This record gives sequence, C-alpha cells and structure tokens, in this order.
Amino acid sequence: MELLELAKEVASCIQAWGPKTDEEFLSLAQAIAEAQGRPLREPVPEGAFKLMSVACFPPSKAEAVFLSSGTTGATRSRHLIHDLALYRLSAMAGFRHFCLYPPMPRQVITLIPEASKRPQSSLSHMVSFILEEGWERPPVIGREGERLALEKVESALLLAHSSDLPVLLLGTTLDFLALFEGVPCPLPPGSRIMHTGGAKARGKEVDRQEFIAQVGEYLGIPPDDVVEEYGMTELLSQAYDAPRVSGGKRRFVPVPWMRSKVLDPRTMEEVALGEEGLLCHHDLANVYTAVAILTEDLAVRAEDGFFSVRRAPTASPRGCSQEAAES
Amino acid sequence: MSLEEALCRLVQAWHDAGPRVEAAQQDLCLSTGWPEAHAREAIRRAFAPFTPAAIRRLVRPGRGGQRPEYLLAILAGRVPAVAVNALFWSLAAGVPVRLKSPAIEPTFARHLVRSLWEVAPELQAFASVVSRAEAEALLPLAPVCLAYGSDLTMAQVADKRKGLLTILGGHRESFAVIYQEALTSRSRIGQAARLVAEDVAIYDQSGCLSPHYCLVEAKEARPFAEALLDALAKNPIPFGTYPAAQLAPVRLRVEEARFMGALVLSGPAIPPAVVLLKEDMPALEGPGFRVVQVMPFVGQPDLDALLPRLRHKVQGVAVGGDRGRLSALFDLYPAFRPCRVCGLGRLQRPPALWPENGVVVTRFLARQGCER
Repeated sequence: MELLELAKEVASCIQAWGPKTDEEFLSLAQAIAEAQGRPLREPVPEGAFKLMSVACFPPSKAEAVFLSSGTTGATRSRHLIHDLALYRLSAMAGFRHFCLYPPMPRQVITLIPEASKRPQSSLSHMVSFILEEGWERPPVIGREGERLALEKVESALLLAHSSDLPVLLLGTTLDFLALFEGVPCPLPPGSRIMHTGGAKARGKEVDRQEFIAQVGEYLGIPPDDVVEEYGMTELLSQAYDAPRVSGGKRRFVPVPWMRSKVLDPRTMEEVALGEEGLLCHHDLANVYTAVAILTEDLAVRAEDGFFSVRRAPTASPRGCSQEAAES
Repeated sequence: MSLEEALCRLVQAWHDAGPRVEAAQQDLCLSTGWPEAHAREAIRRAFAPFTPAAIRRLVRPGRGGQRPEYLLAILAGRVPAVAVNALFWSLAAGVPVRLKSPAIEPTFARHLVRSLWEVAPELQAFASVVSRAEAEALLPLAPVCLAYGSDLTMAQVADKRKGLLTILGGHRESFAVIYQEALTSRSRIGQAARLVAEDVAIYDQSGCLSPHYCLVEAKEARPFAEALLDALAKNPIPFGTYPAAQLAPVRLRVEEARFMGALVLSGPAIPPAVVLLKEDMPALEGPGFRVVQVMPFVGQPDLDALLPRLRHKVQGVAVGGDRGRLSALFDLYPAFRPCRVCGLGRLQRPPALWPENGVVVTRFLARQGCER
C-alpha cells in the first residue's frame, strides 16, 4: 500500500479514536513499516534523527521541519514533516480527549510561544492548533519574544480569578516554575494546567510531586487537574498523564494510534510491569518518517502506559573517569 | 615493620581471602552489579602488579628532602585497582594518602584502608578515607592532588588548584591494532580475538584500558569480527546485573550504528556485540561494556579519520603483529601516542610503575621531595 493511502487510513483511525484492537493496530503498523522499508522490530533510534534525514519523501517536499530544543553546541534532532494536517489531527485529538474534560475551560493562557514565533518547534505548532480551537474568551499568549511575559500572565490570571470561568494554562514545566516565583493566584474551579518537558528538563531537577504541590499552592489547582503531556520532536502523537481521564495511578497513557513499549535494553523484549527500560513508540501518525522509534528515554512500564520518565544517560560508566561530579 | 614489609603483608592479606576480603567482595558486587567471580577477579588484578619485587622497586629509599604532607586522591569509576594504585603509589613515595571514594563504588577504598590498618597499625596515620565534603574542603589546600574524572570535573579541579601540584586523570580510551601477520590462519584469528575479548570483558566499563576499538589490517574483517563475538560470548568473566540506565546507552549506540549501515553481530541479547564498521567509517562514541567496534584498514590505519575523538586521549594500545609497524604508526600520528603499549590481552594487566595518564605517580611524588 502506498504511504498516501496509509496516511488516509491513519487519519480515519484518529477520527474514530482508534485503532480499536491490537490486531488492527499491528496490521496498520506493519503495513506502514513495510512501506517505509524497515521492519517494525528494528525501531529507528532517536539519535538517527540527529545523524541524517529520516524521511520517506524528498526533504524538499517537507511542509515543516521540527527541531529538538537541544543544548548549546549539541546536535539537534530534525524531523521532516510531510503533512502538517496529519500532525494537527493527531495532536488535537489527543489534546481534546485528555485535556478538555468537563467542566470545559473557557479560556487558554499559554506560556509557550506560538508557531509563528518558533516555526521549528513541534510544541509551538501544537500550541497554535490549540489557540485556534475557538475559545469563549480570547486566548492569552504570555510570551514576548523568548521571554516569559510574567506581568501579562499575572494580569490574565487575576482576570480569570475574578471572572470565575475555568481556564487552561499551557507551559513547559520550567516555564511554570518561573511563574511560581511570583505571587500566588488561585484560579476558578475547573481550571487546569497542561505542562510538558518536566521529565526531560536538563540542568534542573524537577520533582513531579513537588511540582504538583506547587501548582496547588500557586494556582489552587488540585493534583488531578495537573495534566502532563509527553511528546517529542520525532513523534506526531502524544501520551498524557491525565488523572481525570485515565483514572488510577498517575501514568502516561498514549493515544490509541500510538503504542508505547518499555524495552529491556539487553534483549529488546518488553520488561515486566513495574520495571524500568527504554521507551519505544510505535506512532502510526509517523507514516512518512519512522513508525517505530527507540527513544533515549527511560520509563517504568504500566499496564496501559508508562511512568517515571527520565533521560537515559548518554554514556556508559567510564573507566577511571566516571563523572566525579556525581560523587 | 618496614614500609616494604607492610605493603607486602597487605597484598598477602588480600590474597589470603579473610573476612575483610569477603566483605569487600560482597560490597563490590552490590555496588557494581558484578557477579562474585567478576568482583574476585577485579580485586585479584588490583593487587597482582604489586609483587614483592615490584614493591621493592617502588619503595626506594628517598634521596632526602621533605615529602609532601599528604596526597588527596579523588577516585573515580568502579575498578578497585584505582584505589589500590593510589594507595601503593603514594605510600611507596613516603606520602600519606587521603582517598575520596567514587560515588558509583563507595565501598572498596574503605575496606582497603582498614585492611592496611589491620596489617600495619603503625601506618594508621598514613591512609584514610575522606567524605565528599571533606574532599571538597581539602581540594584547594592539599599539597598534592591526584584526581580522576570526566574532562568537566578535571577542569573544575584544575580551577580550584591553580598553582598547586595536581595530577589529572581525565577520560582516555584504548584500542587494539592487529596487523595481518597476527591473522594469518583461523587459529591465529581466534587467538587474537580471545585476547582482545579478555581485555574488553573485565570490569564491563567504557574507556581507560578497555579496548573498545579494534583496527584490523584486512580487506575482509568479518572473520575476525565473528571470532571476536564468539570470544566475547565465551569469556569466563561473567556479565553482571546492570540497571537499564547503564545498558540503555549501549543499546542506543548499537542501534545507531546499525541504522548507519554498520554490520552488527550479536546474539539475542547485547552485550556482547561486535559492530563491524564500513570502510572509512569513523568510530562511534564507544558504548562500553562488551561492545567492540571493528575497523578494517589496509597498510596503516588513518587514525585521524577513524578515531578522531581519541586525539591526545589514548590510554593504551594493544598490538597484534609487528611492534615496529606500531611505532611507525605513532610517528605518523603522534597525537595518538598512548601511555601504555603492550601485546593483545595485556592491556588490563598494567605493571606497578606504569605511566597512567602519562605520569608515574610514585616518581612524581618522590621528585617533589628532592626538589624542595
């Protein structure tokens, strides 16, 4: 089957919140892998996106190029996007399902810049899609260039507080930590936040429990309304830790068109429940690049997802020069 | 008791395997993930260079002068030999030593120092273990410091010790060069592979004296690569129980190599694995453990092209075949000249007085006394 046909099939699946069964998922994933010319059991390592163009189409035909944030001097991952509409469909279906549970928020305030300001950020594209959702009250973009516009955000929070209408705040985990250095501003009931990137924050240790407690202290938002999104430049679909939707113990649950496995790095077999391993995603929306991706993230396996995500160390223990800074 | 006698007794105590040694072995297993046999071999190798004759050569009577008051040794990694070397090298020069254990393996140095106190109570003031906080406080004060760690850590140490005597042991790596004369028959290929596997398997680490790159003079290096995988799989040093976080980079680097077109030879589980790189493909960042990158060459290898990351960072080179050709290689590529050159299978058995990171510590310390 051709990639275009497969993309249409994936889009239908997303619209129907499917695939509904494992067999259906596997059959579509295998068809995509076959069309991409790489067996499903040989996932493309995340690092490959740094080393070369991973795409099943001429790079000149890319509608967008997403780059990972990357630290200074580090090579950044490059994901060529052939079909932005498919990304929009995938990202928004997941967002609506996991973040727009009742009572519906009436306004969105984002600490993340929109796509026009960061065209190479997949997250900013997602934010732009969200801003275009048709909110009852005009969205607030709490960003001026690369800088967080804290005063603007605080004013928006105060207005939201007095209006008594629930709001949704979007931001990276580190953005929120910057916000929490200001004056607390409790938000109306039903408000929630969606944060992302906490697991991968470099140079700053972010304790999830502590973060959730801070959200409560600063914004008056209960723990169950602190939604965390897991995404990466190399994926077009996401997983969410959304307690009000997924119930049970906190964990990331992927959208149905993405399956996330936690693999033993030695054998590439799935680890037992509760054990840690390398995260591997099969993302059907990645129909034009790599359906199976072996990430550089470690996570613990849950029944229908994963938790305790952290970046894998970049290197193995060294001889006499093991990082003494760890000591 | 003379210093020489005390050091000999210390070695004997570790050979005799009393309760102290058993406890050290158990702790080492817990902190490193090594099986008992691996820990036992690591400890054996740590003391092996210190034969009575070697100790006699180490402990030469001083030529006078006041020795440094003490050596602060900031240890790193999980190999017990690092602590043993620091202690022997320092004491042999008549300099008391304060050892700071590595975070990754915080147990062995303590056992080592206590065992010294047990065999030679009069040397109690000559060796101690300091905590991280104590080491940090001593760093800008210690008369001499021997520090191991990453390049970043080395820069931080150097910064805090401007104008003070400091021996830095940053990250270095090792490789093997196997010329065609060592690969003339199937059995010689097997023998070379077995010897390389021996040096790779011990400690399950990355860098230092573990040769994770094999430069093979052959148009077709696959027979050697297959023999090496077989030798790694059959190596008697048992593979440990390492957490996913330690093995994750191994899997990631192997899959990246595969994705870039390298041939990956492995069983159902890695490590072990042998990555046969395409001709002229530079070595990837070494994943360590029992993963070796094999690089074919003809004539002499182009070290600048094949091992660009190792410039000025080579700890050891093991050679199979003509050593004269190896000398010629380093004349061509002086930035790759190693601290240690030896035959295959000998890298991880350095002698007592080897110039680790280019410095013979005992002589360095003894010289300080003469120069005062």
